[in-house]
Amino acid sequence: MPVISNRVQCLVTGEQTLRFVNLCRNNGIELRHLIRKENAIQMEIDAKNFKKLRPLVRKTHVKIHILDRQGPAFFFYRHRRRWWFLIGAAVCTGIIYVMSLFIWQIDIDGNSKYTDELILQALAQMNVKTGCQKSEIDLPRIEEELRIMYNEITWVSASITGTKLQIELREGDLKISGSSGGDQTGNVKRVENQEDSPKTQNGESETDLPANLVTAEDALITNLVVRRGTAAVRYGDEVKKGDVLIEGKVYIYNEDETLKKVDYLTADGDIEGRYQQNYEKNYQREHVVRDYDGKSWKTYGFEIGDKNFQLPSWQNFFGQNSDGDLTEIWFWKKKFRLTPTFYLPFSLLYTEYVPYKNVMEDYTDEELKQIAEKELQKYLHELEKKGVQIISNSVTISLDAGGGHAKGVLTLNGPIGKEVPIRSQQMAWNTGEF
Amino acid sequence: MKQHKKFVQNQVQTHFSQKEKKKYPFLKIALATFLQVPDETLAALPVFYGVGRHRLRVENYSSVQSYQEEKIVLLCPKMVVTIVGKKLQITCINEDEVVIEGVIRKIEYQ
Repeated sequence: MPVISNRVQCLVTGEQTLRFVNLCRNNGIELRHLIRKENAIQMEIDAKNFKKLRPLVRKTHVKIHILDRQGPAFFFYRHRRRWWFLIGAAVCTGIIYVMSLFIWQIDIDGNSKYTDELILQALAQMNVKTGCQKSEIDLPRIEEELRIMYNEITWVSASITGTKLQIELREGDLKISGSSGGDQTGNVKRVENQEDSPKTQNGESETDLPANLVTAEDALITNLVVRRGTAAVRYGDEVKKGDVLIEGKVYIYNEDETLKKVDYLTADGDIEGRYQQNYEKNYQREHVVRDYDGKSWKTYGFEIGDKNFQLPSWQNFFGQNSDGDLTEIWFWKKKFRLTPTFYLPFSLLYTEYVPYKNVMEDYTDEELKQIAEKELQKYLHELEKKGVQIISNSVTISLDAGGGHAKGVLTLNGPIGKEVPIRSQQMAWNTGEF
Repeated sequence: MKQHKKFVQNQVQTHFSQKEKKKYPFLKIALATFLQVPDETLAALPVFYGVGRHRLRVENYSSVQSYQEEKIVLLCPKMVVTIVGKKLQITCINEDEVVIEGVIRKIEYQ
């Protein structure tokens, strides 16, 4: 028995009801859900077999009373006058099917350096935007083009589910290995796609150029591990800013210990040193606070595809909001969807305007102190995340009528090396800049 | 063959009466066992599939002789089967099988 079939529920009365059941069975008519009543049997039978009952009814002299008719044929016949409803349902189904052939939502995930708008602009250049047909989208091409356009993107995955285009990215990772990139990011070595790294006139990548590791601070060497190059300092040495820590060259000697040649390479290693850093920050007591004293108002609108329609707000009509008043604008957009991946090209827009005035207020001593403490802790936490160890902290917070000052010296232990290309260093020697 | 016939006869010796033994197709059962085919294919016996106490499917029956909520009597080849219980209902009846649902207390063979 198929799940959706036309069935008839009937009541068979008479004296030979059982004979009728047996005759149905012998004639290949299936009966279901037989319920014994007093002198009758209630049963369910397929509508197409109902016509075959006539000779059996005549034979057994039973009476058949139809109790119910179920199934799609009976449903459509019962609602045959409501044909507009059926046409509307069919048209609605057709519209939903047609809408499922287009992309109505683009989600971008995994990006931090490149904003969503930038990625969407790049996709628009490839004619991929909301409202474009799914059949016109070439997913491998999108992945390739995005990787070519942006150097920092190392992996892209584009997929279509429902009416949503999902773009997942992975941007270039930063790994630590002893050379700090100018702003002491701890043990960080920049890893890039070598094919995309800038090339010199000889065709070499800049990252392959010979370079020394020089110190970025006046420090005392506490840890020294050389992976490539020749060490120029030892454990416990005191170095000044700009001193070479690891030379980007390897001396090759003959058998009689005379210098044969010098090979230049990019120095690599882990060098940590103890150094001091001044910490100074000033805080103003006076600050601006927003006072939300006015009444907020809201506007509604809807979006179809790319077109926005805003319903007029009565505040605009009656001029309640005057020019020059400061207003915070909060905007929500709710996109309609049938399922988590089947988005529709309709959105509801809701905008709330909250007027405010800027008021000058003073921090209390307690508040100033808390702010200074919090910022100091945040700075120290950032340093620890970069692999820097804090040996001592002599920062003090002082307060006066004008504001607060946090000043002191931090003794730190962390990576101190940075790469300096040998060529540029030699140029700097020549010009006396270094 | 003879061994199989003897085996089947010994199995039912204590349980079947003389009259029943004459009706029962021992030879066909023995042949089916010998040929390693299901008994019902050669012996035309009814087959019962039961699910717990609430559902029973009977294949290879002739007709329904009586149908009440407490008792259903089926005419099968070589025997009459009475199903006794409460709230018995025939869920499906067609050429091949009949499905009976309800609280089945006992099944009697005559």
